[in-house]
Amino acid sequence: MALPLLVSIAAAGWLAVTYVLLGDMLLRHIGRYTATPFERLVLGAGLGFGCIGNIVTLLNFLHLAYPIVIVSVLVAFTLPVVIIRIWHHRNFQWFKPSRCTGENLLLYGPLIALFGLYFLRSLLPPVGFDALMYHLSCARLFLENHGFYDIYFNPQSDYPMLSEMQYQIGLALGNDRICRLIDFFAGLVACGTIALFSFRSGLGRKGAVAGCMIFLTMTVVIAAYTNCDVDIAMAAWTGLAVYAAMKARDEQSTGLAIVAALFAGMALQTKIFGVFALLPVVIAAGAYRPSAWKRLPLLAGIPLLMALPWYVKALRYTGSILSINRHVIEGQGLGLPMGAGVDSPVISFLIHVPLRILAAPWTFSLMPSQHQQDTLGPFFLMLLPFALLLKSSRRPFSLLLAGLPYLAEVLAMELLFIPGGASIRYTLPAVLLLIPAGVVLLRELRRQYPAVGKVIGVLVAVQICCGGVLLVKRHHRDWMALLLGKDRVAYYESILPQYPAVNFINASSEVTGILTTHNYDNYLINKPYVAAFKHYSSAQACVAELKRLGISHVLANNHFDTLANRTAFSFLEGIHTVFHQNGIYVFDVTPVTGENIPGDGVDITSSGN
Amino acid sequence: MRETTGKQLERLSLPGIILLLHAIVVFAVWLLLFVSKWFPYAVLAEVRDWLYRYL
Repeated sequence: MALPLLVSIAAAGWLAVTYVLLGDMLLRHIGRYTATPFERLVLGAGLGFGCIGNIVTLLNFLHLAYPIVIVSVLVAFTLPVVIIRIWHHRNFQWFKPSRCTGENLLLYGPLIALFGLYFLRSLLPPVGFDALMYHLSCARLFLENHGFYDIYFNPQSDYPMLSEMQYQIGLALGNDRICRLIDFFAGLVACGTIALFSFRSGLGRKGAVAGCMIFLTMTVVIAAYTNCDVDIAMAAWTGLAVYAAMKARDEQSTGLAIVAALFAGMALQTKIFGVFALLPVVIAAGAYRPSAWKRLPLLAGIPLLMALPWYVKALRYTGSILSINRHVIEGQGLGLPMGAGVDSPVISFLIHVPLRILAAPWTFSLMPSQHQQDTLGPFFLMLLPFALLLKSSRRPFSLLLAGLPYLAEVLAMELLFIPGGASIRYTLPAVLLLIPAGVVLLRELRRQYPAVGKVIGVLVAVQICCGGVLLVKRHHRDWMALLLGKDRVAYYESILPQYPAVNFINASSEVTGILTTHNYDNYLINKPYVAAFKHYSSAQACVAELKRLGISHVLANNHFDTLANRTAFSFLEGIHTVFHQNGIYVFDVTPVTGENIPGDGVDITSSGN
Repeated sequence: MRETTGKQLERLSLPGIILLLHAIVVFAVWLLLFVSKWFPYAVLAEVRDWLYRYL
């Protein structure tokens, strides 16, 4: 276990240095503006990340994404830059290190401990639901195919994938721990963004540290960070875009407006919801002032141009930018706007929508059942209303003006397309903007109403402590795996109930093609596989397709009822179980001939996608 | 001279006091839901069930 760990740390360290130095070089050439060393560090890290991600994207579009080509191009492209920049910066101080005093230890110690825990998690193989289902599995399939192609059975494969292109570097180096470390790096940049907003708001180091700790102990971050997800990265790019846009407005700098546009473009390239970044960026750039209007085409045009290749790719393969599996939509009516299921959509709209808008602050903060069993927590709802109480000059006006519209966009999307409630992860970019706003309000409360500020401050501290305990408790199996030095197989068996079945498939020579149903860990399957993806007009059509695709076995996951598992696919005469453990079944379908089976429609769409 | 807590609250005005109470109630509900995940027993379990039913 030690060697892969060391390799992953070394490779991720190389990538991190490359991101920072490459990005810093780009920053210097984009335009003339003032930037502190810390701004150059954070903005540079982000820009470098985007630059390298786009190089790997280009290799995929050109069908040159061979591991050796990816690594060679990166080394050839980045090594000279790194050497030159290290020479150039030999006497440069990126940030002023603090002295090791008791006060500083008290201030930075808990934050370093939190980062330490997340870093340790990054040293384990990836286990996140979305990561195994499509972030890593698609990156791996593209790498195996040496470029983009139509992964018709995975509807998420045509979403923009800037982060996944970074993860492909880790896969090209043969070590998926690097992917988790890259996600860890994105989180560092996100915290750097919070620090930038804090310094901009005059909060100083204490405020910046408090903001970062609030962020790192939020339940949504505990669930998503270092899981090879893309939400933290998208939040970071959105935050940096808003920051650069604010700075561009202050300094009337076109160069900074370009930087803002590049970060907004990275947000669009990272996730389909990245398009929500455009509104806060345009507002932050001062869209409400006529003097800023000349920069608006730049701020909207560059991001859309950057995202265009991804949109064209999605249109080409699926006919839709949203890349939703059309077979599923046609069959089940998913994606219909709220109210479409009742007699009068207008009445339903009038009843539900205003109430949901009014209740949104409480549903987003407190009600887990409304947002896929997660919430933002009480921080924003406790503090942001106090903005109404303070003098207008004391309010964090710019941050609120950028963060709240983003939340409004997520709410609008939820009302129109996700009646059951959107995942709280989608609000992370707004979280990044509103945390410093909340800390500013806390500071103002402590100044104007010390007793009230103290009470709220204690409540925020308790929230942070609860989050810290949750982080330790929730990932206890990870800590045990690290302490006991578990190998990859032992770790996966302790985390994933379906791993024994996946291991059986990988080890069996009889499995030549696998159809996965209700399964999400496609990344771990080393055999050719197809995730169940459509309805068939008849069982015969289903059998014919299984034969055509060369499917020899079916992996059935997520059936909690064992009897249902045992009798699954009973329409396929001759099917029999070859492995089952933890309620997950592997069926052999090679004896199925397709004769003497009923002609009714068959549904095997429940792929977990 | 340091202002007492009472004086500060007097200065806080009615909206301010409502916001303070709101913040405390919000935090209490969140904490209850949070803690009852770990200790879903007795009264906590009942309160949690009730909150989940209506929230």
